[in-house]
Amino acid sequence: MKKRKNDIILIVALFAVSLCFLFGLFLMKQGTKEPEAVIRVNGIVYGRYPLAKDREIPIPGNIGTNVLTIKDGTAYMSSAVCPDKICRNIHGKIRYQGEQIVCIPGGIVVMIENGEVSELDAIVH
Amino acid sequence: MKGKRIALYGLLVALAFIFSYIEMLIPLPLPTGVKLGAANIVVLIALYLLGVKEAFSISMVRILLSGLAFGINTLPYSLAGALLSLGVMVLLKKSDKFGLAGVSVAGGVAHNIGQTLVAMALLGANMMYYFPVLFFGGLIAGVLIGLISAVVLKKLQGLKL
Repeated sequence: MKKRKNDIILIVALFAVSLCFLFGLFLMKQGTKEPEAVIRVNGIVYGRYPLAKDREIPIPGNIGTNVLTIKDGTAYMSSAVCPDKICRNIHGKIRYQGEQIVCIPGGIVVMIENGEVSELDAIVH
Repeated sequence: MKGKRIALYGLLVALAFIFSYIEMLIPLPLPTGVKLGAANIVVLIALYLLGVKEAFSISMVRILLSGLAFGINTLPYSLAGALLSLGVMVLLKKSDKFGLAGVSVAGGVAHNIGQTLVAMALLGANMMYYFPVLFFGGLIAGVLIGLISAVVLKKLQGLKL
């Protein structure tokens, strides 16, 4: 009877350990698989924002503050202080893996990481 | 008496070998590497009925045979798994604190830990993602093997081997 008790303790303990492992695995997958917009200012990561959550992010760049809007799984520069507004008007909305919005005067680069791969090879504007 | 022993060991090796073969034929819808390890039923029963040396011999011969018959690539994994598993099972059995189920479960988990270690050494692979699955798989397989072995052992009790 004592053996049976020890058996059960051992099995439950190992089960708990494996649950911890599986939970850790789950957390790691969660952490890395989510598509996110990575904002860099002058090459330094300013922040990572999941595309799943709608929000507006002010980005203090070299010449003023731009605003990146995340909405419906896409990211776009909704406000730009630079004179030509290339980042807002030309780059448009990004959502797929590796797509970028670049604002040269502000030194701001927004890039999608862990995103879905676009079915198109490339888009020429 | 000696002839009878030899016949018995041959029988058990053949049984373990057939178990490995059947398992290879019927792939489970599980991540690769997760399987019941039915051959362990034979090893576990040999450990309880015959002894450490006998269980060790049967396990090693079975692994060499499967390696030669079904592919030598997996031999290091099987070998490491079996050695670690048997080592842990022998220790737990000797401690006389655990029953068949506990011994079997520890053996199952140890088996997969051994395989993971070899995979890391040979492939330099990052097994971090795979290890939890193997750990859990070993646990479940160990419970099942323990239950089956308990039933078989009960039937064999009183048999003169």
